[in-house]
Amino acid sequence: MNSANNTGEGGAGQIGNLAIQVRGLSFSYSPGLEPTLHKIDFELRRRVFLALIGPNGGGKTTFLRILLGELQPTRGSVQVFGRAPHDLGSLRAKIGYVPQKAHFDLSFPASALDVVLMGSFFETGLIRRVARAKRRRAEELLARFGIADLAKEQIGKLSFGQQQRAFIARALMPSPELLILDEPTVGIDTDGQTLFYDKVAMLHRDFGITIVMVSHDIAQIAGHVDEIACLFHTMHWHSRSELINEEVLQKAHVCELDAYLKEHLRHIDEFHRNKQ
Amino acid sequence: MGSDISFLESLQTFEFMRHAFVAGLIIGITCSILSVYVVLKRLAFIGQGISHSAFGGVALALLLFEDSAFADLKVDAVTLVFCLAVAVLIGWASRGRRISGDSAIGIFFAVSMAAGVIFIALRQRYTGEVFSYLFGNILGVSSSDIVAISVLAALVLGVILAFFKEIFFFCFDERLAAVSGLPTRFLHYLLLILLALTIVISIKVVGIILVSAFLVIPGATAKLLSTSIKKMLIISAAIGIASSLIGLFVSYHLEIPSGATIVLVQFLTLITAMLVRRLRA
Repeated sequence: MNSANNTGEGGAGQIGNLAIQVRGLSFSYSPGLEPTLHKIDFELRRRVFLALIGPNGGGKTTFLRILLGELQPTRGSVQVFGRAPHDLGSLRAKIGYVPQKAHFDLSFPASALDVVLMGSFFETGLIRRVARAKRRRAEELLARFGIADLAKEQIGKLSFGQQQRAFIARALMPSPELLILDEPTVGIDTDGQTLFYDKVAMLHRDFGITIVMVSHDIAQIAGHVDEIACLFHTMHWHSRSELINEEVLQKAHVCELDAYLKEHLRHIDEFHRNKQ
Repeated sequence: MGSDISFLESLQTFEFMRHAFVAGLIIGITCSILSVYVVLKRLAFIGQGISHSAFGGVALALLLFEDSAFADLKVDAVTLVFCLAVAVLIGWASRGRRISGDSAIGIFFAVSMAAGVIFIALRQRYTGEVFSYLFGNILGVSSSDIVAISVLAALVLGVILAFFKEIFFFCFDERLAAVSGLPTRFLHYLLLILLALTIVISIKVVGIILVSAFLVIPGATAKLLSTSIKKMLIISAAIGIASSLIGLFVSYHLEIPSGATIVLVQFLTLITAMLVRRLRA
């Protein structure tokens, strides 16, 4: 199995065509600790729908947090649309983010529409009022996700699946070019998941949005995505769309086991080296 | 029990009653509006920390300036600076990782009060007015106090109105707000500074101990009855105004302390709201 990424042939000339470029990224939460992410090289072209898979504790969320500018690399460089994520300035509006679970109080006095409108606050600017046109857009997005009739409902009263649809509508408010989804369907029933993935795939098809989605349901999303990458501390492999076939799905299924074995072998290796 | 003249007559007759009435209204509104955010962002304990720390500020100010010219003004100014400094320090400590937020607040709270007790002991004289800072003295509000209270209250409410949408998102989900590009660090300190300002204008009137109730009960009550932020703000402000007026009225007729009476009236509205919610469900 190839541990390097397969999309590296783009070269420097195509930077304008890249949504994400990661070079030699390592990250640890504190200096003494084992790195959570280790020497990652990764590129994602614009308008690609990527599924990021890998075992729990393998650094997927950490990787997303670095892409979002919440954490900064210990080593290496990360660029989103050619800029460091913590210093995106107005480009920040080009990134939409849907968390695995938003941490809000279920009795918080906000409606589904209020939550979607929050997605326009950054673009609107401090102190200014949200424009009427934004309100219409928010209502359209809610309709697109099939929850227009719940616009005035308190967000905490919606089912989790409906909440996630409101949160993706929120993320889409500023018309982002990159959408980052962190296991958005955990806790949603199978029908709800299918509906959710269909909607996301439609966004990708209709608007050409670049999507990075962390997911476990590889079988369910395989038909929708262009590329799959497996992250377990390092980027184990990253396959292009035309390579997604039975073999890749097989690899995806064994990704967890594979990653585990590699890690285990590395420890055994180190152990022997230290002994010598 | 009871007074020789009615509450309304007393308002016409006595200036100190009019001052009490106006101060009660302004503080009722300001505290109850802010209490919405205290409840939503769970700042109740931080509020307690800042208000109790104010005791250290008041004691220091009394020690330094009691006999000088414009003593009142100087005491207010020192208390204001002290509370703002504590608010910023608590804000800084609660974002750090070395000491948890609630430990930091507990430490500031106790250390400021300890310093206050020592400052008072150093004065070596009658300490009656310190008591009025602890429990408030709404009947001792001067016209210059009214001016100061009005200006600071207008500032607090104006800032809340200006940053309405940002504070709303910040209280809803701070992490999502940060990832969406909102200046969450600024909003964190802004809320604490507004809290400190509100506490400073309230302690003369309702006291260090009771201001916590003003900053929590109206918001907590309103939250039980509302599904939108606007409704919550309106209900909370209505509770703030009504409880101040009813409390003042009742305390006048029963000749009991006003600040404490207002707090008990607020508590009754909370119990009523809980019952209403229960009946509705």
